[in-house]
Amino acid sequence: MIAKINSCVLLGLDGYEIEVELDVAGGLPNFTIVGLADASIRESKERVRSAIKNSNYRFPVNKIVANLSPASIKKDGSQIDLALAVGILEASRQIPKVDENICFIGELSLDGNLMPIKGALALVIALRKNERIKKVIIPDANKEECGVIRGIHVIPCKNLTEVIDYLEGFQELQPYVQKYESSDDEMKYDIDFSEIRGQAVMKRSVEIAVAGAHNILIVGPPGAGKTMIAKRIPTIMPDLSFEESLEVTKIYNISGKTSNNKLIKKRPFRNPHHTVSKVALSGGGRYSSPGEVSLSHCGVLFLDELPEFTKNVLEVLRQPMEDGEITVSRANAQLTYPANFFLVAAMNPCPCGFLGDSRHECTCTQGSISRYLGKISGPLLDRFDIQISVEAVNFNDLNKSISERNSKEIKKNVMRVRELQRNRYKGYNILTNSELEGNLLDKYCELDEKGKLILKLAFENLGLSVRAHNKILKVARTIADLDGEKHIAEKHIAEAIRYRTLDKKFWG
Amino acid sequence: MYKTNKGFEYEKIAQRYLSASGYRILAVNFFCRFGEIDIIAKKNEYLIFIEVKGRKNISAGYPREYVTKSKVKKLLLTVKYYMMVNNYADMNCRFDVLEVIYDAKKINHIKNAIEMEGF
Repeated sequence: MIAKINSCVLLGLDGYEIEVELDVAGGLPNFTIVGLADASIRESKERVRSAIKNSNYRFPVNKIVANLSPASIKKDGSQIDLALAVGILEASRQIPKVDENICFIGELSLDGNLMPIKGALALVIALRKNERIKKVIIPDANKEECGVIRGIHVIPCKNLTEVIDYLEGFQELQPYVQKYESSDDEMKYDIDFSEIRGQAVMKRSVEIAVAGAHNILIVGPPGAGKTMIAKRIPTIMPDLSFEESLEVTKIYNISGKTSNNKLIKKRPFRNPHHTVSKVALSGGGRYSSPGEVSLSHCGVLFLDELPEFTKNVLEVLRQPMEDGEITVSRANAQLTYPANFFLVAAMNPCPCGFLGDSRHECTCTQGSISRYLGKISGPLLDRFDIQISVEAVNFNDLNKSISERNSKEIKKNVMRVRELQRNRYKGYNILTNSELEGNLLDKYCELDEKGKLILKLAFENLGLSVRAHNKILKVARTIADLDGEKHIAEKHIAEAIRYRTLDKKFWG
Repeated sequence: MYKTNKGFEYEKIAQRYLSASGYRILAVNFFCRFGEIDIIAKKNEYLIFIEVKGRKNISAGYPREYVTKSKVKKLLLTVKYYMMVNNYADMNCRFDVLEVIYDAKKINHIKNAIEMEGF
């Protein structure tokens, strides 16, 4: 007899619904799985066999053929164990026909328990879009993350026996519904902006950068607090929205980086070491997995000691920085991962670190400095909206007892400005000033006469590119927003230009 | 020839046991160029291929331990041949091992002992 059971596999970051067909017929006892199944699925034979036996059902002594359709798509993952087991029981007439609006996801252990799987959230999200599927059965351990999805009944089960009892109607199971709310406890950081003494310029520019989602490059001597401020950036970023939280969790889930199978509510902060490889940054690999640019989606990607990164690794960043996603083509598949990150980079001005420092002598040769700076290509440098040079902290600032603004205040300010931008760009499919382009840029970044004059002078004297010109306008827009002003004034444009002079200072 | 006789004796014991427990014996010592099936029997719509292993005692291990991988390989080929010549392609089948421990007067019938997996 033939049974058809719904299940789901992962293709990149998205779930793909498949049908598991089972035929239990006469012939030499054998169990084969066809339909481009990977090793992890072919191994499920033994798990299914033991799980059925140990749940006090009979594993049929027959020729069993399982077909995963559509058969043209490569499939992997252990989550179709449950569908196979239910299918075998149905095909061998041990349980009645299973409703075709139920989908089964879960890995079986040998004793019949359902084990947590990775990527459960992505699978459930994909199934929600399918109108035929009304219920999905998932392992109990995955219920916290999947319970927030609406539009489909998520039914957590502990073991195979429970699933069968539910199907036969012996046991009523209620769909699990989890509210999305972030408690203060989950949002608590043990670091705070107020811990940074002095460095007013750096703090101001980071605030502007976060408010308008402008990428930022910080150049400064060792010990200036570059890394310290970067680590505190997530504390002043607005909370993740529900959709963002889902996306972030999906990515972490699939790369197996969630520890408690709950939704991620903190903005990710990724800090890859400068020895990172191209694939680790971009994603892909033998078993395609998201790279650092995707892991920092909706969060911060912090590259410390920027020139120490290999040149071709840095060039990987160019496409995602513009598009907010990355397409990885490999022999097996072409996959697109979201990669809308906020890039923060820090570096020294020269190999010894003290070029331009007032208290140290720089010991580098001109050659070594230009080699060092040359690792950052022009196009990459151009993509940083804000570039600042900071000095080492002086003693007076360090010991000052004035209270610095803490993360909470800054965050409030940032959120106000983000809200402003969201309302302004309603209907344009963008959220922040940094995404302004073309007509919108002209419309919302209009300058008065004085502002135009300043920009003209800067453009000519500094030899700015068109991209740099546009970025100055965008940053000026954010500064004006922070000031709560409708029009960009002279002082705003002047400040914005200040954040673009660095490439002239060091690279010029 | 002593050993061969011993083996036949164990198979005789096995046959008596199977007949007594409701199995209909179709063939005994089915030979072909691939190997040999000790007993072919039928019960409840199942075609059952039985490998008989006997030992005087268990000082050298249980008889079932002597159903080795190479033995199973030969058995499967023989079974496929048997099913082909008898046109039994869609019949429900099962492989059993029947072990006889002579001194202890003990018979263990291990049902569905061999899976086709991996051969």
